[in-house]
Amino acid sequence: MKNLLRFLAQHYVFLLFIALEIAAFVLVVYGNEYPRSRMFASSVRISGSFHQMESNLTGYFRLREINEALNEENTALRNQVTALENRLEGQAEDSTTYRYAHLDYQYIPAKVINSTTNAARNYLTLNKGSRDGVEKDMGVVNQDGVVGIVTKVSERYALVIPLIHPDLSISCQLGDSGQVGSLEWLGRDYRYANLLDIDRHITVREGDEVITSQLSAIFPQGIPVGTVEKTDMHETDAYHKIQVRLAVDFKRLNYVKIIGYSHSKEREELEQTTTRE
Amino acid sequence: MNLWIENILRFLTVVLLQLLLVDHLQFLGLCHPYVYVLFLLALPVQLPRWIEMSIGFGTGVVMDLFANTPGVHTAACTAVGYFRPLLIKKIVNENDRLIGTINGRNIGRINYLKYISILIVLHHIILFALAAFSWHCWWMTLAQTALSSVVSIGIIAGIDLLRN
Repeated sequence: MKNLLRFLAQHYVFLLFIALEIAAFVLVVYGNEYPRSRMFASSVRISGSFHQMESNLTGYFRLREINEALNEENTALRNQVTALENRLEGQAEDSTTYRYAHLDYQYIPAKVINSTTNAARNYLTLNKGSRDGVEKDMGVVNQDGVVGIVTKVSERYALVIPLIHPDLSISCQLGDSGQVGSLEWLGRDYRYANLLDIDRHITVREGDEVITSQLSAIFPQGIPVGTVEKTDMHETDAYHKIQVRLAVDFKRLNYVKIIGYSHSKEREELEQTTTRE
Repeated sequence: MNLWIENILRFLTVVLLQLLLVDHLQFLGLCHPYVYVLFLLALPVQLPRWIEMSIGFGTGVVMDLFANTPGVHTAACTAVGYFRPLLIKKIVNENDRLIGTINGRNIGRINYLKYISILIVLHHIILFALAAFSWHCWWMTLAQTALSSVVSIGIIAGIDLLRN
C-alpha cells in the first residue's frame, strides 16, 4: 500500500497525462456518433452563435457576387413559373386534380454561416434550426446543385454533412443512361467526388451530367450533382471508375435551401415495415 | 502586466486569430496551419505540470467545439502540455533561471526555433493523424502535416520576431 502510494506520488504527472489522453481518445472514437454526443449536440449552439457573428462581419464583402447569383436564380425561377403557367392554361379544361405525392417538397431558405473544405471531415453550419422547421436528414441544395444532408439540429442552427465528407454517400444517376450509382468522396479535393457502381457496359462520356436519382427519399429526382470529369476502367473491372466534378463550389457557399419532403416519415415507415418482415 | 490577464488575453487573441483568419487560409487543400498552439507555447514556465496539462486539455476541448472534431485537438494539446516542460529542461540552460514566457530573446533565436518546431510538429502529427483516423491515404496526411507544420512554425516565429 505504502509502495503504491509512493508510486502514485512519483508518477502522478505521467498518470494524469495517460488519463487525459485516454479521455481525448474516447472522444475521438465515440464523439462523432450522433446520439452519444450530447456535449457536441449542444456545442452546435455555442459555435453556431459564434460563426453567426463572424458571418455577419464578413458577409458584406461578397454582396455583389451574391446579388448576381440571386438575380440569376430569380430569373430562372420566373422562367419556370411562366412555363408552368402556360402549361396550366393549356390544361384548364382538363379537370384532373391529382396531387403527386412525390412532388410534395418545400424549401426553407438558409445561410451558411460556417464551412470547412480542407478537413478530412468537413461540415457546414446553417442559420436555420428546429424552430424554422428544419429536421435531421433533410437535404440541402443551392442554385448549382446538391450540397449535403442535415445531421444535427439545435433551436436556431443546423449542422450539415456536405458531399465532401467521407461518411456521406448519396444515390445518383448518370444523366443519359439513367444508371444509378452512389457518389462518395475520398477525402482529397473539395472539387471532386467519385461515382461508384456504374456497370461496365454503360457508355460514360466526359461531361455527362450526374443528377440525384429517384431512389432517394431526401432529394427530389433530377437535381444536379456534378459532371463526369474523367473515367477509367481496367479490363477486369466490373464497374467504371468515374471522377465527378461537383456542381457546387463548396468554397463559395453562401445561400442554400433546405428541402423538406412532407411524406418522408410515411415513406420511411412503409419501407421499414416491409424490411422487418 | 498581471500574469493571469496576460495569458487570458493571449488565449482570446490566438483563438480569434485562428478561427477568423488562419482557418480560412488554404493552399491546395493540403495546408491547414494551427497558430493557436502559440498560447500553449507561451505559458509561464513556472506552472506546475498538472496545471499545464489541464490547460492544454481545456484549450483542446474549446478548439474541438469550434472545429466539430471531438477529441482531436484535445489529444494534441494535452500532449503539448505534457512534453513542453521536459523539452524546456533539455533546451534551456540551468543557469538561466527563466521565469514567465519563453521567447526568442530570452533563450536565443535558434533555441526558440528548435523549441517551437518540436512542439508544433508533435501537435500537428497527433492532430492530423487523429483527424484522418485511418491509414487510408496516409501519404496525404503526412504531406498535410509537413506543410501545415512549416507554415505554423513560420507564422509563430514571425510573430516572435515582430514582438521581441
